[in-house]
Amino acid sequence: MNDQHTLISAAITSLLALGIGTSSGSAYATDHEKCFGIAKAGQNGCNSNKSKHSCAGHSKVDNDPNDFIVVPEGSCLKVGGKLESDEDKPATPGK
Amino acid sequence: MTMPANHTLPCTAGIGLRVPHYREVLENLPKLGWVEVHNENFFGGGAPLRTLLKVREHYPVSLHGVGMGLASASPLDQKHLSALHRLCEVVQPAAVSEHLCWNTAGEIVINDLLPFPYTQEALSHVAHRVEQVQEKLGRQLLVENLSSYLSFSHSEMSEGEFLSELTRRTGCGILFDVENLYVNMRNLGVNAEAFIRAIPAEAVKEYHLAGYSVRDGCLVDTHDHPVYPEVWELYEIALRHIGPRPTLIEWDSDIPALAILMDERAKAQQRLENCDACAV
Amino acid sequence: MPALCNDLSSFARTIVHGEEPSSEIDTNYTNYSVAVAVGVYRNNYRGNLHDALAGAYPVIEQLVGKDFFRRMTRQFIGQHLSRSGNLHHYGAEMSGFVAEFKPAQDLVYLPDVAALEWACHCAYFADDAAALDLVKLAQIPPVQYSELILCTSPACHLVRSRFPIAAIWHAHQPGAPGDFHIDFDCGSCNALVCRKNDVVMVFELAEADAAWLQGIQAGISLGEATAATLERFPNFDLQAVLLNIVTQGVLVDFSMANH
Repeated sequence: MNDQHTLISAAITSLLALGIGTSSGSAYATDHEKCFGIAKAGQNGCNSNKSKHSCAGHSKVDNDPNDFIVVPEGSCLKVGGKLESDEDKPATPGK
Repeated sequence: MTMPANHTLPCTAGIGLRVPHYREVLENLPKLGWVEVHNENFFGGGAPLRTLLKVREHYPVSLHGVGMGLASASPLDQKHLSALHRLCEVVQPAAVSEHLCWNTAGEIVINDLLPFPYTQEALSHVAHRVEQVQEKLGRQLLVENLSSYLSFSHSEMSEGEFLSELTRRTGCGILFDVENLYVNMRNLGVNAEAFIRAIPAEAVKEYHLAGYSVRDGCLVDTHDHPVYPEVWELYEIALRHIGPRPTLIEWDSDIPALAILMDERAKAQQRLENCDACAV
Repeated sequence: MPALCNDLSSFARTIVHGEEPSSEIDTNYTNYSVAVAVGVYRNNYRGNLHDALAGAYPVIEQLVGKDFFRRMTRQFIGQHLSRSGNLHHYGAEMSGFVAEFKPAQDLVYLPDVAALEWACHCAYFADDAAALDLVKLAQIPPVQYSELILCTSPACHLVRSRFPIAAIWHAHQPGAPGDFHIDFDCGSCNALVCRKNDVVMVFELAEADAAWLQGIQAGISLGEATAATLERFPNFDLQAVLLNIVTQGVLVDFSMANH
């Protein structure tokens, strides 16, 4: 317990000695590039049909069984790691 | 923080400021009267707020809400209102506005601007909520007329009459969206000139202009085109009847280069100046 | 306002649940049918929620591809109503949804990547917090250090996973080289999300550091968190992790444990 107290004291003391205290927000990023580069577009807007191609021609129901004839085909094909895909698992009869 | 002395919107043309133009506007500080942003995108701190405060050092800012749901059938969202209040405190906006619409009915929230029947019952309801907002913010709220794709058979008055009575009861101002009125004229057969006559000119504090799209015969308020000639014409009629007011170009989808947006702004600015010349 | 309530609820069900429009809605329009008008509202409803999800989950969208993502979000939207007028609040349940979502079940890491993305999304829009006040900390007598309750920034989140989710996240950020290699044998990952100078960042913490921070986040005292961590990880370096997380703006305030 004493050891632990020494350890905690040393840690806090080193923190105080370094005098670092960073703000999580109030400092404006000096590197504008970095700041604006990652600006997320706000999602709240007052126009209609922001996502105008989103649902055109799609059915009105939310659970269309035809939806999942498609398979994921993004960068997951490069990520790999299909650790638990059906091919890797032993067959489980009756399931 | 340095704030410009001007805490009211100048009677000039401004632009809706969106993420793709932040950097260019802050680096080049183009000559434009003022900017407007959507409130909810700045609830919280971090990069959005810091960027807005940077902009605020150079331009008057109008805060335009899309999520308050003034006509919603549910208690006014106090968290939302508090977030807006906090934003107003730090930004010191030149104007604060919301839409004449609803977004919540009981448990269901629909993140859109939805029309409702213009009844006496709705009028009392909306007036009460506008009063709550104005009381909390300690300032006048501008309420914007809505673009609609359908209407209710039991409305007891027109949207113009509704807004007029709302300003009389609450002291709120009107944000007159000229394109929304044009959309309603074409979609719903609303009489645009009757709307312009119905609203009290002195209550109108701001104009909006934008471009629409047509889907299966319905004009949709997409803000993804330049302002159409018919909407410019209606704007000129409004300028003659109501007078010049701060005017905003909104472009929210397929957002063009800033130069194109600035050209649209210049067209509005020209009309405002012509209108001033006529009035003298 | 009973009549208004009925009108809005009925209209809401028409948009969200596909019910027929009520008789109070006009049916005759010069240029289109009422079905077209209702279709515009339904499209807005789903489109706005889809865009909100795409804004919050850009890595998931890249991983599964736009088409699959759109179909996946459509099911999500059918199961999860929005609860806020601020679209940035929509989508918190994605990680749990993805875990149950059969067509994506081969992508075992997807739920944890979703949890990490939601943490980043929340960090981006989180309230500001003042910096840790070292002058105030210096006034605490060293004998009381163990009783310090350290508070983390509202933009700070720890996401622990048995998959390399931080590496997957970094590989999908703007400007990242496309030819990444993810090492699935590198074991678990403790992704620390924080915001420094308004930029959201993802770091990896060692197992001991993450266990300690989790204790701190749960609100237990510095002494207890450190003791519990040392018990499991005798080589735990408190000084290093403390300096690291203070530099990253993770700690913003402190109080004293009440005994």
